[in-house]
Amino acid sequence: MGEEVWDEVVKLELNFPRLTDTAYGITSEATPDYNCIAWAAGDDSRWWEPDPFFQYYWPERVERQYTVRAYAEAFLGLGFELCTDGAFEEGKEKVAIFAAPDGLPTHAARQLSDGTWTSKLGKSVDIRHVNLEDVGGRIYGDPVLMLQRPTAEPSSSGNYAPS
Amino acid sequence: MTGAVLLEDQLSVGTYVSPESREFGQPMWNLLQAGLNEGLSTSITEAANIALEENAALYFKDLAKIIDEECAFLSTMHEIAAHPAYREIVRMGYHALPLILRDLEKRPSHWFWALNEITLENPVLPEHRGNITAMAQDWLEWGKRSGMKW
Repeated sequence: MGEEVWDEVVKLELNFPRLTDTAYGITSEATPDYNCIAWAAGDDSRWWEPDPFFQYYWPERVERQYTVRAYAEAFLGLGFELCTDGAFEEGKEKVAIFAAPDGLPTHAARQLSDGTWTSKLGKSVDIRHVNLEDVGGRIYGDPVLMLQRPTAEPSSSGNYAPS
Repeated sequence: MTGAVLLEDQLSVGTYVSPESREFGQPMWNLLQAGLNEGLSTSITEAANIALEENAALYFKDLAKIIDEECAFLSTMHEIAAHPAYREIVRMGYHALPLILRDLEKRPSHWFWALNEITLENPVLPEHRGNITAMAQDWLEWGKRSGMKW
């Protein structure tokens, strides 16, 4: 394993200790171009955020508030509906919204067609992780809301192997 | 704050100056204050400005590095902008603007929150929202229109 990749792994597992000893994989290079909300919505070209200055992308007609409700509405506008859990269901694409103990939304993850999950970690890398809760903890809190929609087309879950 | 007040602030903290040294240095101090307060260009003024600029650039670089390391996994600028290092850059105010624009030109990155807080402007076009490269370009063009140099 190259030194840069090793450094990335060490940093990841220090910040997300629940990943340690699980079969996760780094699936992109680090980039500030998009964040977890965008990635969960299938967009890797923009940073999604309801900032009060109107500088970042946020779906029109969804309130610009840092609330789980506003984040849920962003996904409802994409054809998602609320559901009860993250259990894999054939033909369904699921998204989970995480929040900190104070209720502030912190992260969103998307389920892949094999039941694993994909998360963009801030300005860092995308990863594929086995359990939804593997990215929970100190930084992202825990999943608080689940949404689902019919799968339109197969999601990709290929791994990226940096040289 | 004028440059003279800033410099005096930096020099007066924890610095002992003997009466003899103060008397010896008074003419140069007078020249510096004349330059900074009254806008006269002197070699000492230029040297002080360069020192201040270099200090600010180094300080900014250190703060940017801390932000990169400690905020790498945060998902919103709302959280990143609350980090003490980011707040410090906003506190630098207009001194930080050329440093931010210079950094944006090298690599588009998330300085937009700071730029907005410092300038109270938002030159980002609606169709560019969230597109980091395009947002950076909007701000750089704002900088040029505003006559800024970086």
